[in-house]
Amino acid sequence: MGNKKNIDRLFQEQFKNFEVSPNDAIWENIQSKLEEDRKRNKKVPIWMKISGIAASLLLLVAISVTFLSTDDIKNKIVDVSEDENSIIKNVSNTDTKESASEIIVNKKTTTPLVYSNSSDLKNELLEKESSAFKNKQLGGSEIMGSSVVNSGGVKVNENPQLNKGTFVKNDTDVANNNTNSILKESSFDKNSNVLRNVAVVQNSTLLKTEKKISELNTINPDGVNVYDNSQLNKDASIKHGTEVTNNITKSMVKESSFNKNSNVLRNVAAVQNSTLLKTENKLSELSVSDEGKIKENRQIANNKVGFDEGNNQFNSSNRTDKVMAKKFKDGIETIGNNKLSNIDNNNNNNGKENPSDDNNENTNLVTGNVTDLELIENDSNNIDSKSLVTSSGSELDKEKSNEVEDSEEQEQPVEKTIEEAVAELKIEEDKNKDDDDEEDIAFNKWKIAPNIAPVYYNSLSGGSPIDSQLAANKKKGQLTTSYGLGVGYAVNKRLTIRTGLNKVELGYDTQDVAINSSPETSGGPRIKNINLTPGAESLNIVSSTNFSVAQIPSSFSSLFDSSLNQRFGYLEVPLELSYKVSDKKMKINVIAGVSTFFLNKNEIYTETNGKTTFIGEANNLNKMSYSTNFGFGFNYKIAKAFNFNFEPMFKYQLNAFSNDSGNFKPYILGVYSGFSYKF
Amino acid sequence: MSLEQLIIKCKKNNRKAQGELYSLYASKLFTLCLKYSKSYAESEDNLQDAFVTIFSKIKQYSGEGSFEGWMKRIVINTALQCYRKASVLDVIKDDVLEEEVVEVEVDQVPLEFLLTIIQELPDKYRLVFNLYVLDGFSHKEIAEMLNVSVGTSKSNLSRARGILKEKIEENEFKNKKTP
Repeated sequence: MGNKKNIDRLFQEQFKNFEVSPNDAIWENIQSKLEEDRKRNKKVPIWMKISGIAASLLLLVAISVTFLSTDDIKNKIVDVSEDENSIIKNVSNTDTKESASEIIVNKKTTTPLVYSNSSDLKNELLEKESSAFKNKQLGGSEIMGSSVVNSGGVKVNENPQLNKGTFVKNDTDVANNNTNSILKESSFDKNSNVLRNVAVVQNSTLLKTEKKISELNTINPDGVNVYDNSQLNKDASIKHGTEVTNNITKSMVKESSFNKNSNVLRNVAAVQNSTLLKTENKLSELSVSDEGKIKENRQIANNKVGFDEGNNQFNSSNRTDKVMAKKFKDGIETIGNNKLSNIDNNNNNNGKENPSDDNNENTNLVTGNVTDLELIENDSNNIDSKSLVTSSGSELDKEKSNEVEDSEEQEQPVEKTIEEAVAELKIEEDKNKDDDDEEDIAFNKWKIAPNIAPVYYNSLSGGSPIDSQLAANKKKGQLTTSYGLGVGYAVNKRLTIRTGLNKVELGYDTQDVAINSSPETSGGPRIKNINLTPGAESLNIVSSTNFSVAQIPSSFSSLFDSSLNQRFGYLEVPLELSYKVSDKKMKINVIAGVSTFFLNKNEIYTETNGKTTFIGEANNLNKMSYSTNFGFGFNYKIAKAFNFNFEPMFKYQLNAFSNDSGNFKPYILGVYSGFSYKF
Repeated sequence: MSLEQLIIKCKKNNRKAQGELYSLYASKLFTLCLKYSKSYAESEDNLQDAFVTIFSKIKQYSGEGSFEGWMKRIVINTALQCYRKASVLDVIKDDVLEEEVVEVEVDQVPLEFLLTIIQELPDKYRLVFNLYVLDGFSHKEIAEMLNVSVGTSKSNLSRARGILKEKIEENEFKNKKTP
């Protein structure tokens, strides 16, 4: 009878020191399996790596596409502003209030940004119109009254001065608010567009005001009245224009580049000038004679003083303003002349036709319908022509008549000037945009560039990396891959320092090798530079070029036609200088530098009848070696900050093998391609 | 060469070091395979697969914990793998039995016999018995490893013990009959 025993304990005790040695064949199986795995690993990862790199490149392209679409949005903004301009052009071509409201409606349908502007503008427009009207009525009637009593004179001129003050103030405030609010709302890039719009729209408003003025002029044949109104209105508009320009200039100077500034300002100037010219045309139609010359001259002098003040304001700004001021001065001179003619006309009318009754009539007519106005306009025109005929031959008159002719001739070009200015603006802005792009890129000093390359490994001279006895054997360089990531820093526009990390796989096959694995011949010559693995210790490797076929020992049998395949890999850290030779869309660089190679793979296989066997590793490969590099880089710009790179490189290895390499001078040829991103 | 050096060399895929490591642990791990497998041939397959896994995953061995334990775990996982694949563990009787002490009256039971009766156990019983009794895993761990409930693990163990007891006693009886 045995003892009672816990069954768990029984098993535990028995198995405690139980060991059974497995069959020896198992290790062999394991070895062959490991070998298979290694081969599989060698093949599969390359596919995976390539697809991985392809995926990352795709990703980069996707990102670049996203960046491109941002540019599209910018273009859209420009488009909107173009629409605005075209609408504004329409304004300049039409006279009615309805068209103005139409414009506002149109604007509402474009973009919210513009919408907010337009609502402001609407207010401004309405205010201006109403104030203009008010001016006309108040100033007009008062002056009319005084003109009846005083029959024109200094007093008459005083009243409008007051009106002028308020009017100008009003207008300028509106303009300021408008500009400021827009400036607040808009970002840097949009600024130029918005400001341009403001400028143009405001000009159109000016244009409208001018037209009103000219209408008034025609309505009221009463010289003093008309003179005053038009005078003050014009003053107002000019001052208004000045203020607007100043505002624009200031804000632009603050926030945008010089180029853009001049662009906008030039546009403003052009449009304003054209507007003024237009007014001039209208006004000069009325110009007749030179009665009350002294008085008017004084008035002109006053005005000029006013303008000079404006000019001083300009001068106190920046260089662009000076250009503006000049342009403006031109405009002012023309206006001055206009005034002269206008005043002349007024006085002429005043003198010719008896004022008091007519004044009353005209005041009524202001509130009357359009046809009446037109009739009167025609009348006044008739008078003008008559007056022109009857005008004396004094110097002033000659100038004036010339003015009339000139202005008539200029009427057509005026419209063109607006269009041209807009077109010019567009072209220059495009140019500026390009310039900005260039600047941006120049500013991006860093770049990151993933790359992949097929690399070819071979030797400049003969020799063998394995054994000097194989020096004369036929050899074959392998086409393998190198991939990695590069980083570059632009020292200046042309010179870039680059480094990075690349994984390089290299292959070199020595052919016509006889391999013998039979133990009997183990006393034969061993290959010097191979450390054979445990499983392959009995291998004998000889060059089959050493003996003729007849001499081949039977033990070598079919193994004499083998090859020794050397596979090694490095981690490469290049340090290179890249110099840009050509800086067009396709950039060409000359690249030179050195690379440090860190050995991370060192394997030798034998290949017999298509069967590859791992036999060991080379013992003469340096763990660290260097190379000198030279090559060319072709960079093609695909998008802002994105380049496609194509770089054929030649790398000459300096100390890849430590000894007995049989005068082996290896080099690596690679064509590196990839994308780079600048930031 | 110390074990640490051997491991480092194995991590570099040095064939010589791998051979050395194999000869050091082959017997221990083969015994483990024998216990977990139905047959000798199956144990050989498992050992082979386990070693391939060990060499390919040796880079993942951080150096923490016993290296032998790490290898054993791989061997056991390899053994369990084929049963997980075959999903033989699905057939489960979930009637939880009380954990009881099973005792047998024996003098000396030869090891070969014990190994044989373990191998003859139904797969799920064998795995649980091995894991719990011979390799010291808790029911909770076993439940996780085999993807079964703790109750199932306990009941399987209990049934395994019962079967083994029967077989040992049967064997004793036979031995007594034929002195």
